[in-house]
Amino acid sequence: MKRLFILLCCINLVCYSLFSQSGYIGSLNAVNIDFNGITTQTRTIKIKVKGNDSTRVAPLRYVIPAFSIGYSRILGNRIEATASYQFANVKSHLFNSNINLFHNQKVLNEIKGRQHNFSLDFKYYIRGSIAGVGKYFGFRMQYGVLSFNENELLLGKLGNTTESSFFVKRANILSQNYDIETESARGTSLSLRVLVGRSYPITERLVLNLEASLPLLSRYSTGLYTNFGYEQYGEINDSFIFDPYNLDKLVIRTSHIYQRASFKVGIKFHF
Amino acid sequence: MGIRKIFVLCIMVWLNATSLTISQTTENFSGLYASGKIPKDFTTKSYDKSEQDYLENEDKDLDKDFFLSTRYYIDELLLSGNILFNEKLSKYLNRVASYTLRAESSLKDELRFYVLKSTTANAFSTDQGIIVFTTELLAQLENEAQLAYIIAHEVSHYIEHHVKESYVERQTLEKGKGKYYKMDHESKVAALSVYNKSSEFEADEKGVDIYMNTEYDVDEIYTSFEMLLYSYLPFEDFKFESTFLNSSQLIIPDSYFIDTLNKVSKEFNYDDLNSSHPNIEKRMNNVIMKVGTDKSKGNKKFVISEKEFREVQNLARFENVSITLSQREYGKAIYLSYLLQKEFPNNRFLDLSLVKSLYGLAKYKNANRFSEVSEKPQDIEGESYVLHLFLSDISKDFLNVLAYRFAYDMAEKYMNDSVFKAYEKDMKKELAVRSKFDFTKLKDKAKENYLKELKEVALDFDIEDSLLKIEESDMSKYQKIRRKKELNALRDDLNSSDKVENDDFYLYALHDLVRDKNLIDELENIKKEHEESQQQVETSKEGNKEGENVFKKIVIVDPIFEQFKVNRKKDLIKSERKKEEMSALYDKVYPKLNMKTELLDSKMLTPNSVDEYNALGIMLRWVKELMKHQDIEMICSSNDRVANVKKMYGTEHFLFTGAFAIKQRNEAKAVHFYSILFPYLIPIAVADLLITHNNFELITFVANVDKDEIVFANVADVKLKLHSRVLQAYIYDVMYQLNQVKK
Repeated sequence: MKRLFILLCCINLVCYSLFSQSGYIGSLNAVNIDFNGITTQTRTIKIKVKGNDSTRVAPLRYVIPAFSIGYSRILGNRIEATASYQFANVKSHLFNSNINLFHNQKVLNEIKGRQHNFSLDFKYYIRGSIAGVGKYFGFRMQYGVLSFNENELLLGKLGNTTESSFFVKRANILSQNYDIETESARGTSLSLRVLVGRSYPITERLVLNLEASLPLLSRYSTGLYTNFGYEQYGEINDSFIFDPYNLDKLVIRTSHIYQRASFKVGIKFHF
Repeated sequence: MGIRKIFVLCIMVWLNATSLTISQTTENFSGLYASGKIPKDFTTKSYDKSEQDYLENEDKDLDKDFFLSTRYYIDELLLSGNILFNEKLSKYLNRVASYTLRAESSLKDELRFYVLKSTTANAFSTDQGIIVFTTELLAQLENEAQLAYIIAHEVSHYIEHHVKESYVERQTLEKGKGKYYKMDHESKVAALSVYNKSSEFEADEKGVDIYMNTEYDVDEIYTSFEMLLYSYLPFEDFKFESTFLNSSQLIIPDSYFIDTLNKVSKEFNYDDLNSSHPNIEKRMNNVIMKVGTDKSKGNKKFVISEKEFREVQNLARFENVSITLSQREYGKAIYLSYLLQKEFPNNRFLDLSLVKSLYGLAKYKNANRFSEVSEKPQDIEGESYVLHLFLSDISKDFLNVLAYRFAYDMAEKYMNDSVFKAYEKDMKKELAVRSKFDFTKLKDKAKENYLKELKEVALDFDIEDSLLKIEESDMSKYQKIRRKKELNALRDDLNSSDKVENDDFYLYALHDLVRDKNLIDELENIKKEHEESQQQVETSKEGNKEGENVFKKIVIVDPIFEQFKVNRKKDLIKSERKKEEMSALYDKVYPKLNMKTELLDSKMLTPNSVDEYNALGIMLRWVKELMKHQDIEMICSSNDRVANVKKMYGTEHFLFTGAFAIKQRNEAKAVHFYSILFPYLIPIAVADLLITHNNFELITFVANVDKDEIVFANVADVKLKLHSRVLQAYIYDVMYQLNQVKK
């Protein structure tokens, strides 16, 4: 990975020095604000507790929104670099997670989290386009941090799905047992993604940008907190001890999900 | 003289110096230019014209496409800068037209007569009332009466609405309606040809009616047909004198000029099967029948003015020499200059044309591209065949010497003329460097003197004996080799002098310069300097990024924009609108760029911008020639005219640009049909066939008028839809690249 990164940096430095750049109608710099849609292979479920009978209705989502802001610089006649920060409110995906915590009890609530991605893009505009306008492909080096909030974990005994449709999934919960608090669970990732996109000029300053990206190589880790668990309530009871491996798995798995193919619509303001 | 008068005089002098509409005479000919106010035909947008005419149209058979296509087509011609108005030729044409149409004065008010600078003898009329005569036609005419008949003929086309009718007929043919129903293609073409010929007969007859109202000689109707028949030949067919290209020091042997001729082959009854016009025999017979019943015959060949006619004719002929040169027909230009020199000896323009012609031929011969500028002698009919045969037969060395001799002699004749000097200088460089001519072979004596001296030397001593003596002498090895070499060369010269061959006569053609002006040393110096400068160019190719901008000011010359639809037809309306948009983008001030721009645009002409109109014509002719020369470094024949435009705009850099936008769909290929095997792929295959792809090409180059070369070129092949901002991004990029070029 390190070697690849160095190689890419070298290629870019050589390439941009070869061409003189006019920018987009004279503007080499741009600020971009984007709306991202991240696809989820496992349909994301938003669970609402309805009353005390523990029936959960889960609308399904295929795309998770994320927002990003960045700075772009045109380096060559067909080369552009972007540094950006992306933020997304995420949730753990539990319904198919198979995280069996204890005695057939499962985490019932989604765990709310935040994902922060820092990325560096190199975009190569294809022949027939000019940096700033047109079609491009590129690579993105992305460093991401996913952290779950100190939310309560709701443990319960989950029954079978009784009803489901394309958009809504309904499940009956047989019993709700414990509320458990966790330490902040945190995971980091480093990935190399491929991009394809197109920029449409709107005015002399504004450009509309559409882009899709796919992960090429990824590496995940659970960061600083290797020993996840929960604060014990009341008496010490062995049955409450989590297997930390399962939470690590949860973090990584969620990171995976939020780094699948993503689509971006954004506006670039050139200056 | 009062201060005010001096001021007015100064202004007038300044105007004369910068204006391109200087008075035109054969004595000091520098080109034909339009003058006065630009007519409305040139300043109204094509779309506005077509829209207005369409709304006013009462003929239901004519659709909008007719008005669009005809208006755009004629406007392209009008705005080429090659049309003459309000100057001698068109004024005279208008006067003859007014007289010819005096019985129908209201008709004259509807018509506008212009002259097109072209070497094709032609005249045509449009449904808008524009009638155009070419300079070649004016050059070929023998008298005013012939001109009057052709005017009458063209006016008849207008009166009879032949342009409109022909369009309707073609539409009927294309749709296969009416008489063209179920006809095969060949029958349709034949039927259309018959239709067109009937229009010509009709115009001939109607033309006779108009002509008969004048005092012109009826017989001139027939001679005008003869004139048209042979208008593909030069305006005269005089024998080319073998001495014409001789100079004081260069006598070309007669053997180079053959006595046989390639006879004129065209007959009155030529095959007109595929022609839109009937052959001359049929037309004359038709006219004879028409005239035969009419008793009122005039007998004048000139009514307006014979003197004026001759002046107009000569000006047209002079201009055609200039056009011929820019079309690189150097052999033809020599012959035309030869014909004109009979009447105008010692004419600067004609002398310069000869220099340019020989210079051009030598340049192309040295670049091994001679076939591009020389016509095949067997294709040349008439007396000029001899000249063309001579030019194609002579060796490269001879042609170079001949061209330099002419350039030198003319530079001497016109001592203070920088144009001649420039040609002499460049031809000298050609001789020294590019021709690869072994100039050390040039003799320093006239041929007869040289041979005489050789014989005297031969009498003085025996070469064989001297060679033996050298062998026996105690000279060093190297001295012996040198002496023997000299003696062997002398022996070769003596042997060749015995044969008295004509092959090397040109080596003596510059003997006065070799003897008195050290020509060989000078050529050697030029060669060395050239080699050194080449090395310097190699080392300085990296360029200077800190220096001063090369392109401080650029004139953008008439940007071209052509938008094509999916059916590959030109979208005329969009093309015109986008052209205006493109011009505005080029003319826009980009604060980040340190460069001035000025626009010379045919679509932005105002009634008072006749100088811009003329400048446009000059620049477009010059750049066409420049493009044809490609990699040959040479002075363009129209360079002296371009110099005036340079003065007018204050820069030597002119930018030419064009954008060509195309919409297209992918063609069906085998891979599309294979999708049937995989039903999921069918929608993709269909989409691939239906989606239209937009792309455009933006071609830009900057030419330097001082150097006659393209100094910057950029081609952007853009695979995007032509959005204004995309175009602007590319235009800015071009301007930016120009701004980056440093001295």
